[in-house]
Amino acid sequence: MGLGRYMARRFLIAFTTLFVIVNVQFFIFQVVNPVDPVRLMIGPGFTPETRQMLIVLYGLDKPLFERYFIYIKNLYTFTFGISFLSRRPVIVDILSYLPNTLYLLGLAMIFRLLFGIISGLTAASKRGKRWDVTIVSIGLISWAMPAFILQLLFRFVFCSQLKWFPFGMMTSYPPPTAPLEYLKDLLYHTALPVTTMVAMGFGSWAFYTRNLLVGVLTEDYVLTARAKGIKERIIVWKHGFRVILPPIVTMIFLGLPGLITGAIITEYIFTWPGLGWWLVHSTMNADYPSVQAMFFIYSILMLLSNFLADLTYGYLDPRIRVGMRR
Amino acid sequence: MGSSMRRIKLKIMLSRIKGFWEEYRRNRIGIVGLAIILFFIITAFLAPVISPYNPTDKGLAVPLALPLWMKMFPKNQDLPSTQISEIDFTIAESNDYIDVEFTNYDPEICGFLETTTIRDWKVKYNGGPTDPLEIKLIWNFNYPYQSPPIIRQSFRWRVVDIRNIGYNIELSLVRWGNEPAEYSLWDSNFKKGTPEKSLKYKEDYIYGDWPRLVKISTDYEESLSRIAPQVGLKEGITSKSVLKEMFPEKGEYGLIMYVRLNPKSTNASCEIDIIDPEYVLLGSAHGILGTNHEGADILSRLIYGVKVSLSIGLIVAVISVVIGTFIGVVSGYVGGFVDEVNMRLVDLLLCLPIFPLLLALVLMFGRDLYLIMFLLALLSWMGLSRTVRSQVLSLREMAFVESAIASGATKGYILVKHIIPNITPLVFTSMMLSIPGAILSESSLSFLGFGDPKVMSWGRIINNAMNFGAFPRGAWWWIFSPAVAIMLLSAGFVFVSHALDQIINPRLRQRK
Repeated sequence: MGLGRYMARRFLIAFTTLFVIVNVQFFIFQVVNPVDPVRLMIGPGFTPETRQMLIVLYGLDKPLFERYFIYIKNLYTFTFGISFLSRRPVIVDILSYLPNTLYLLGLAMIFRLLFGIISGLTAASKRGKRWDVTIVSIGLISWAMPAFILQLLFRFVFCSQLKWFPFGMMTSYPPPTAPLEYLKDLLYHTALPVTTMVAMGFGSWAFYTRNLLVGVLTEDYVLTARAKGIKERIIVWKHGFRVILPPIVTMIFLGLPGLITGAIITEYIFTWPGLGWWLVHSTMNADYPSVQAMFFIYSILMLLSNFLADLTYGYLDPRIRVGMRR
Repeated sequence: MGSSMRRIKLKIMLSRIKGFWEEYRRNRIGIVGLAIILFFIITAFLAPVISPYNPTDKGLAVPLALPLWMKMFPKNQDLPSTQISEIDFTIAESNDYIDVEFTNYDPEICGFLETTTIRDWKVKYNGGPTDPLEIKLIWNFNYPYQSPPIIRQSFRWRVVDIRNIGYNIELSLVRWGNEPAEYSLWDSNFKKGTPEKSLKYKEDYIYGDWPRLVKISTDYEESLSRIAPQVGLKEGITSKSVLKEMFPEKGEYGLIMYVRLNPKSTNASCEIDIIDPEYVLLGSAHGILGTNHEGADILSRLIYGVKVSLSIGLIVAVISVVIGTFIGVVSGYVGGFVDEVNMRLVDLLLCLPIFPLLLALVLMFGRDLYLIMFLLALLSWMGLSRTVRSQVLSLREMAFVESAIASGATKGYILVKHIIPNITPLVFTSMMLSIPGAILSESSLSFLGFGDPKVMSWGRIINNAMNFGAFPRGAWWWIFSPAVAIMLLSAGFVFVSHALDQIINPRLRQRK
């Protein structure tokens, strides 16, 4: 019951926030926006009639009030109107780009966590030794170093100079038809962006995990466990990792939005046909229906990740779970 | 009494600062960070002095010229570096009837904006026999490199007081080596489509007093089409292939200028001025960090970019820290409704997709550096205000605050004397961290092509590099020097903030 009410409250807050964000967006994009999208759509050779036709076609002649309701309806029914740029319903574009982004990010996230947590745990259990120092320095470097530097470097060395990896897009063109061949081709194209994302991301995870675990390993109950003669590995897993899991999971969810926006630059560098690449493209071309849709999706993802972070924290941390029951 | 109090306080503060510095000095990472930041600050201030060129100068060398120090490798040993010289002619063949004098034209009279000439020439003819006459001016130079990618010559000339005479001016390049050869580069009668030496004399039109500018360059099609037949090239005519034939070896070369006159009667006269002759060899190796696609010096652009990045970092960080601290302190200290409103605002802003929003706003309201700074500051204070608020909340419950309240201190007094001093270290550390954040955000924006087009920032250099073929042509110096600069500068601030954190945060201080 306690968890249900907690969830319901969180959900309500998230929904209200989304509503406010949607309104802010409408205000920014349709009320104060000084750019005339139609002017960007048509060339100088177009007649005023064509211009008028486009304005009517995209509903830009309707009063603001009516446009607001159309906008709200479009967002909450996930249709998002028609893109100025591709002249297709925005949802079609999104559905073609979203899986690519999710695939890239999912893969990158899994490997980041895997490498990050394992090396962080190792570093903490060997505190002060060479391994620990290495992990801490890598963490600091990847914190200070903008991700795109490594990506530029990898693209330069492995794509442009050595030509070990293909550059740009997800598959060769035309993509191979046999499923096994397709998978091979896909992985071949994925390797470089994912590697760079993992290399840039895992250091901070390792750093974070290490610092959490170092704190835990100085606790009295760890001392007790050590005194009982329990193996160090078991102490790290059972007394350490279990305790630091809630903040880690929370961080995973809280880091999701950053991961998504961070992918914009990765996708731009490797011309990966994902949401981020498309966002830059449509922002550049003042394709506001698409940009609005992207904002909506990004906001939902943000809210969702915050919501999930709250939820898992509540679920994984017994102190909070008990507190909620009360 | 009051003044001695103040003196004691000052002493305490000084000893505190000294103690802090003692502790900071022992932190190696912190010192490295501080050194990096100082280096960049000095660079920013000295930019006009230490930058070898103006950042807007183009055509300083060949596009994508290698850094000069790459000549240390044997493969690049003979790469030409940029040479710009005055052509210092001497008279090789004179004629009794032609007066050749050395003058130095006043740039004002010539109407030039700038001239650097050491030698201008005046060729005068005033009556004599009616045979064709010729004089020859020559300038020799040593060419110690492999064949050059582009060479240029330029000068101005004019004819005045012309009467009953035909004239012709010709510039040619001569190779003195084992197989001497002479290539005609330009002559005053040359018309496109007549590749053979067209040495007809002409007098049909004069240019009056205004000196005409002649520019000969092996990357101009007109100059190439004249030179190519002379070296026997029929196809694959590029500046490089033609110059390979013209400069097959290191050694002595020369530029010769002929002035030929063809008087039609005994009272013929004319005066020809050759002004500001210049010879430019565009090097394939240039400067410390090479050139970009326009032949602009990358090091200079980098040096001028320091100021942009530093000021963005500092200004954005200061504004956002001020906003964040203010909101945090007010929230935590006033509490109640104000706190609720503030925290909901923070929640809301944190849920906005900041980076996409920045892209959209920048494109809508103009790509202006100040706008970008303003937006960055406005969208980056939220995290700090949360931390400050929680800090203030816990400080409010501390015993020393309670005792201050008990002894009748006002809210404002407590705020100024107890709360603010206690959150200062936190605020300062987080400011150090938000500086690289702002620098990175701006460079990401410029990098995606959303930066201020009037400002040469580091991100924009990388954006240019990506858009103008640095990757396929392997111009690593163009891509990576701004990238490394960005990294170094942000690393400096991260190091300093790390060190401050170690000193200020007692939990971290214990471990050593």
